[in-house]
Amino acid sequence: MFGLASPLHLRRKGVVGMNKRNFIYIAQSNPRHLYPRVDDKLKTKLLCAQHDIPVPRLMGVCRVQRHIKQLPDFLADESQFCIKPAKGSGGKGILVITERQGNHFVKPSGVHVTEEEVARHVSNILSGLYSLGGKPDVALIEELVQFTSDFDGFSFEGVPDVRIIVYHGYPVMAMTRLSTHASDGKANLHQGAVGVGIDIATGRALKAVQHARPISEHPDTGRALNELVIPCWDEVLELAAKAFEMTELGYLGADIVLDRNRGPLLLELNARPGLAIQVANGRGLEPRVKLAAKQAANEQLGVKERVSYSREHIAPL
Amino acid sequence: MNAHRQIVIIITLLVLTGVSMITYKHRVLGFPLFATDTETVWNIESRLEFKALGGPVKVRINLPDSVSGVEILHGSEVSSGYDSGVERDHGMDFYQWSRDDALPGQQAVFLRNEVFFREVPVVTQEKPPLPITPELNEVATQVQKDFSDANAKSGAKEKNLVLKILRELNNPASEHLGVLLRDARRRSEQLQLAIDLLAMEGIAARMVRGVLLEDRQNNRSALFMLKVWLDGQWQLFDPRESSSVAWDGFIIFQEGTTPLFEVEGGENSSLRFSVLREQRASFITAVEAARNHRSLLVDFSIYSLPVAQQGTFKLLLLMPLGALVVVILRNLVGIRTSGTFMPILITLAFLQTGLLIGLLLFIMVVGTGLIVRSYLTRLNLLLVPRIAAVLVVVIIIYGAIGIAGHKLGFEWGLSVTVFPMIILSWTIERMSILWDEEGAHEVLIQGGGSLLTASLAYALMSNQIVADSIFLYPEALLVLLAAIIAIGSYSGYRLSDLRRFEPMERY
Repeated sequence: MFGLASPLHLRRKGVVGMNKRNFIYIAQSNPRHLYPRVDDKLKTKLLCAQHDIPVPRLMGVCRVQRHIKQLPDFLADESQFCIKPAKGSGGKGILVITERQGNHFVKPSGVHVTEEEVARHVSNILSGLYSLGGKPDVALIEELVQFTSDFDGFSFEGVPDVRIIVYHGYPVMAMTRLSTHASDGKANLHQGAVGVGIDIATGRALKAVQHARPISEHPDTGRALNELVIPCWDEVLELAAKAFEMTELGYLGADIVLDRNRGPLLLELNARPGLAIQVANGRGLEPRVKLAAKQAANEQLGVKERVSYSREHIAPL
Repeated sequence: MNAHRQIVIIITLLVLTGVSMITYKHRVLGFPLFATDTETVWNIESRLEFKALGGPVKVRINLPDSVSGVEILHGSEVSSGYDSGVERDHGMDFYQWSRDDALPGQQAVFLRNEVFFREVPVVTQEKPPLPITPELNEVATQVQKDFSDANAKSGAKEKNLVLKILRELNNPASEHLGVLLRDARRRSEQLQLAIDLLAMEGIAARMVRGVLLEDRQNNRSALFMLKVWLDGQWQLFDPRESSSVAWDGFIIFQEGTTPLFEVEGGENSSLRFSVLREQRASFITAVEAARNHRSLLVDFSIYSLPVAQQGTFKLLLLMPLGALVVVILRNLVGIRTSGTFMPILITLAFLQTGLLIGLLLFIMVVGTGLIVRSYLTRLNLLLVPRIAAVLVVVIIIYGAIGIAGHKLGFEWGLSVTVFPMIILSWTIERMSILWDEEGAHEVLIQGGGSLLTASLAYALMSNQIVADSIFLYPEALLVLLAAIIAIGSYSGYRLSDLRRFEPMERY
């Protein structure tokens, strides 16, 4: 009615609203002192190394302005890399270089970038141009992910990642975000990217939404979205579940990409994952979270046991 | 104790405290429920003139007695060179002025009283003892006897009897009392006669002096009235008009044998009264009355501050209302604003400029600022210099709007200065980043949400009734705090959730 859902209906489906997410999930499961583990990508990377979690390889860190002078020498032999701010948010300030032509670097769009421009970009990152609240930051230089070809035709320009919500170590819901022409190659649902709910049990697409409206084909490539299957699904889930031991955050969003050679890599973690995943799945989070919480309180399980519990018991809810 | 139970207890305590304080102030201290109520206040100015003989002078005026249902505030006496204050002597209150070295000659002291009547007079008057039968001379006894017999025949009783006596007293050719009236020319003597006559009938009566409450009376002397115990309460009768006087139509300054005023060290004294009626917001009189009674709740409240500071607090007390609006719109409705409490600060500016002009100025400043800021983006400045640059630009825009408005004859343009410039600079900065990251659509949503919030807060905070009521009952802030805490622990859906998850209805 009036374009509004009935609160009774939503409660019956166990849909979680913003207040419940902020007040119950985040406030009670995520102690604030643990936030830097996920908000600072450098810290996340170091933690991942300790816990044997595969991530895009870190080539170097640029911490202070005088490091920038050494940058041309450091990058002399590199033709593919990615520079990102450690505390950036929403994909801001990420510079991707896919090719090298003489002294020039080339971005995926084909635009040439000079060494000076790369240096200025790093300088901006250090001065906090892209960080939350404008605080001074450091720049990470990362190896470029060799994206798997499994998603060909499912995404326009950008490469999809898989977002998995992990509640106290149990993967409870998953989706993948496919960029479209409307979203300008960005995997941002607000800007028109397609959200595809993924079945925790099988890694297969459940349903897809764009602008919160159900769709069945990719608006640009026309591929049927229900054919989408995430490869190495078991490994993807285990990777996400491991992030719980690493961060100790009870309510966590893990963003995972698939590398052609190395398999699933953990790209980023989020202590305040959004709720749009419920629309993409057509399911509410609440019953799954409740079961996960109950099981977590019952027995301490290893990563593999937790993943198989999720696939068996949580996925059908 | 878990957090949820603590929250419930805190909310209950806050609501109970707030509501009971409000009830106490309303019921016991007589605060009106709404600040719009008005009531009549009588300003009585007593002016005592005398000719000082030189040397020490002591002057007293008997103060009206406090009767239940009647509030009398005194003070603001204007008489230089005198020590003055309320004194108590033999259970009677006086206002006393004294001075050791008064110059000989005409002197005057003033006393200002404010009198107002509570809506319902509570009758808690004590029944007077039965009057003692007075000893009268022979003639008087005979007259009284005849008069009494005549009364018995006519059957006049109580009130009618009083009126009849007063009528007879006003008639020098009276059949019954004429003889006695020859010796009783003065009003006080006539009234004493009436009192004696009533005493014979077993009715208690007293002579009182005071002021008749009629608007714009100047230079009146104290009037005699007859106070008669009838039907379980004292009733007033006007001997001149031979009529009864309403309980709230007369204020008694003197009763019985106490002198109305005394002057030591002076002569030729006279006491004159002027009366002025005033219609005043009832909460002002309630506050003054409570201060007069030294009520703790009022004595230790913002009313005890100087008037100028009270004005500041009056504005401060409104801020929580703005905060409540923000909390409701963000957490119950789900409106996105740019900056959590930025809308309240904008509202404060609106309160000074007015809503439409405020909105216009805000859009002009932020719009121009965004255009300039979009150019600064290209320069890739560092954060702090960039915001400082925006701040300078904002000041220039202020100046431009002010000067252009002044030249074109729009004086409201000058009111742009009431906008908090640091906040506006940050707003421009944040909106500009939002524009880059999420697009113009999101800027419009958040900007519109901020202005909607500010406008709603303005509607609430600019309302005079709301402002006066919260000033009247600052305890309401406790209830407001409880509401904010309650919303803070609300984990149900926001209106925006219902909109956003609407597609799930179809699954």
